[in-house]
Amino acid sequence: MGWTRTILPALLLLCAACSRGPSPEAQAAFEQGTGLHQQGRFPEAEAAYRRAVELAPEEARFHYQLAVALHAQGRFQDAEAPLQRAAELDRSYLPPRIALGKIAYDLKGDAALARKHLQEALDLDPRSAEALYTLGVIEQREGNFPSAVERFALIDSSASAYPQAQAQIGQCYLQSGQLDQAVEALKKAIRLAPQEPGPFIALGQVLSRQGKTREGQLLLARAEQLKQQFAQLQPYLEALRRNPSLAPPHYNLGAVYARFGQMRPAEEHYQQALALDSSYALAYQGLGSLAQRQGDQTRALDYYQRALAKDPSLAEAHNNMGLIYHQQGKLEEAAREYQAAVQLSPDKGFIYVNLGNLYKDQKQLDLAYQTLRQAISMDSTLTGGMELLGDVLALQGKVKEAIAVWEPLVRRQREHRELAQKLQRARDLLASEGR
Amino acid sequence: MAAAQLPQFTDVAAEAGITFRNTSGSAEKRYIIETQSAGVGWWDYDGDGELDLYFTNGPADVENPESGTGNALYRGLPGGAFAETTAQTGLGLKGWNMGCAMADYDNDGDSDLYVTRWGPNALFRNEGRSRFTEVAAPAGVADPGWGIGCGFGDYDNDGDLDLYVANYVEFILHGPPFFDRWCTHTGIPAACGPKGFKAQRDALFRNEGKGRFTDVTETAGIAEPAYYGMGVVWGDVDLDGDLDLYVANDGQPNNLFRNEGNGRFTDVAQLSGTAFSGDGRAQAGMGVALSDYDNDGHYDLFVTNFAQDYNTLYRNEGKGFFTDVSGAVGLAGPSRPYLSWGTFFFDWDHDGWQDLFIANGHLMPAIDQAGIGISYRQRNQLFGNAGQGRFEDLTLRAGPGLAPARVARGAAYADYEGDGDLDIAVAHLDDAPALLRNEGGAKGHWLLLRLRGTLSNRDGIGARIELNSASGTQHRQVCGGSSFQAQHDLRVHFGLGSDAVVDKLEVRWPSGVVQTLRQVPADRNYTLTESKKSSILE
Repeated sequence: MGWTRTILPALLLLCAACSRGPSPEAQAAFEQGTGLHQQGRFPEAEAAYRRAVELAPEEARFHYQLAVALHAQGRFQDAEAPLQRAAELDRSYLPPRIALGKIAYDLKGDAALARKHLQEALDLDPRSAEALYTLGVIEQREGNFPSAVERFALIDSSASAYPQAQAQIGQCYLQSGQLDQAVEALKKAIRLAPQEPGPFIALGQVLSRQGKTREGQLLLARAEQLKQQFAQLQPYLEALRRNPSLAPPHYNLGAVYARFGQMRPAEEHYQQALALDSSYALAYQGLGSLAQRQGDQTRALDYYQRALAKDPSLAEAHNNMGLIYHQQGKLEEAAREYQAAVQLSPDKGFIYVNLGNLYKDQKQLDLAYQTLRQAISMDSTLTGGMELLGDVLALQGKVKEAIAVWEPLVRRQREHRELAQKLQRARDLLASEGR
Repeated sequence: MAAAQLPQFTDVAAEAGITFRNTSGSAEKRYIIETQSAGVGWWDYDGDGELDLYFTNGPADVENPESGTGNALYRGLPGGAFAETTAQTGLGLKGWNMGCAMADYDNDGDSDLYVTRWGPNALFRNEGRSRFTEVAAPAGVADPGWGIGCGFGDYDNDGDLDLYVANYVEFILHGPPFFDRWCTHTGIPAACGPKGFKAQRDALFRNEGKGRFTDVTETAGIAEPAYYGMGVVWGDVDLDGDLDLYVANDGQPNNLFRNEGNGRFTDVAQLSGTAFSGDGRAQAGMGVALSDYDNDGHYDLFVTNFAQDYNTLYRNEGKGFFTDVSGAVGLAGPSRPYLSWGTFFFDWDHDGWQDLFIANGHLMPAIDQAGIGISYRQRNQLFGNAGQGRFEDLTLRAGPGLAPARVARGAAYADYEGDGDLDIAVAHLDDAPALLRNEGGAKGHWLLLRLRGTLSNRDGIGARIELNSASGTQHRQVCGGSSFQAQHDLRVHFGLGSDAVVDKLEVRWPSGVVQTLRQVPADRNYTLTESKKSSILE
């Protein structure tokens, strides 16, 4: 249970017991410590905080910050004394009480002592998400599920711990055999954090206990997929951790999230890339793609146009705009965009497929045929292009040739019922012509 | 129970003549390979009726695997003494040795020995008269991985013992991915891993008879994914008459391989609730125990884990589901300061309820300087079970043998004195082992049962036993594997409280034979031979 996220609130807290305030020298030592701390230079920060404490031993926040620096070095036991001192000096100081609660349980396994500290924190702030969550976890691990649920349920929906708290409510219900309540809570947790595998696993267990083993297994499969996605995210997360102030790592991470269908984090990272570099055209293109997938064509077109304004060489933006215009029936505009995409990226077979499809809809069947053949010769894996080629041949009355194109596709894609039906209709037509 | 009435453990290793001292590389433990070589096993290798002890060992010099004294064998003598017979038997295997399993894999009437190692494992076939031949390669079980836990079990019920080996990580000394780097843990230098190392897949070997095994890991459906395998236990978890397998993995989901009866297994750990903690986390699983701690007829699972986390008790609810009750029974909080390894349920005080022993010791010698309040040397723990649904930490009231803080790994129980109560051997890293003799206290009646299979495997591994007495019903299984890098006494022990007679004793053999005995006097050591025709306790 880390508690470094209490640093900022702690820094902002005024020390109620220190009416006179620390001396300028003590304050300077404290600020020096803060600066070193923010740079990750924890041993030096510790030394500065110790000086500050020596000069102003009645300052609760100085003791607390010293404890935070010790904790950052993993010296949890050493952190205990300054935490206790901070709590003694300022009866209204929340963070040391939460930290003491965590130490009491994490290191000593002393649930009673942990509860005492955390309840003191909650007496000061009954809505403290961190205190509620920590106490909830302790109660859960000690098997006091109703008490755990009570704590988790009090966490405000705006708190960052809220989704995880909902997941833990679900786990508590699961562990106490209240399966219907577990289903409800875990479904909520999944809605709040659809990329987290834990609630899927727990819900899978619940459904399995309810006799719905198949559904349970499907949820496990989804959890496994999320775990694998998370593993694929790791290098991008690491790149971002190392360079949080650059646009490309944000964009790259957004693109991976988009690939996994996780729209919200994708959008967040694209937006962050733009916040860091407003000229980052790829981020606009990415936002356009997300909007398009969500069916918002107007917003998608706007993003693509902004992307192209920054970088006219983005073939994908042209291609995607072509798709939108094509869907809207604006065939000339679509043709213009596809042709621009082809010129910029002449080796991308799928753009030729889109163009060939457009020619088909424009009834330019010979041109459609040539374009689709070109696409397939560039990339033989374009099954969509092959199917379209068959459609064009069928439209040209070349039913036998259409069948020859569709047959291997149907064998490869057994689940594609529409294609199978198309093939069957063509065979029936050929058979009836033969009679 | 008042303190004066509690049985007491006393470490009598030195007094018993055990002079073995474990070595495991350097004192500072730069490499992960140096952190685990301390296993222990009980067996009767010479068939004289006295239990013997085997200790696994590592090299003294991490650069030289052949350094150090190697594994050690101590022959049990009447009166509780031991004499070293390593040289005479040729079992002083050198190198990075980890765990051991002893059983009669070839059903020829004597107990053989399998040793897991970093590098090819070893199988010592007992030739009788205290002679052994190392036959792992021709037998097909010289698995080359870094083996940790292992266990014999007849999963296909064909009458001979198959073998499971849990493998850990792909480790190359001075090699990738960490080379000679120190990693850090809470700010102190620590051996790197296991995260970052490639996991090695475990191995399942099917006994084909005539001394040969076939690697059926792939066909059995347990090859992938590979995890950091540690503790292993064979047991019939779903009571359908065949052996399932539970594997504790380090920092990854545990596995519960349900035996489908057709040579294949299905991992049901996640659906059953035994893969993660109750709050959904993968834990650093080390040792494992399978037993019916609440006497409800279902076999529960206990897994030891890392410090600053808790050891996990999965109560079997029946119908294939388990619930993490660690906190509810009082085991969660008290385990957090400890890094736990060998473990088992055993009825220490003969009250009819199984108590729990846990061997502890950290991984990182420098942890004492970390200022986190956790020490390298740690006390083992004993939790008493009085059948009230909770475990009570009785460590400080159970005798001087549990007082010292050391670096424990493997732990195994046995009645080595033949007095009816269970004693404990604990292997320590870079230290002498402990032989904790169980003595005194107001113990109840007891019964020890040795099974001799004829249609089933000779050791009776996989047999299920139900005992009915005036106080109630108890269930046991003869499990293969279990604990951590350890082999228990394969005899089945029951504490009977005030019941001097067992009303009914029913043994279900893996072969399907069921033998029932009635009105069995307590306080004796029995042998039951598998037979369709008669049931006679010797």
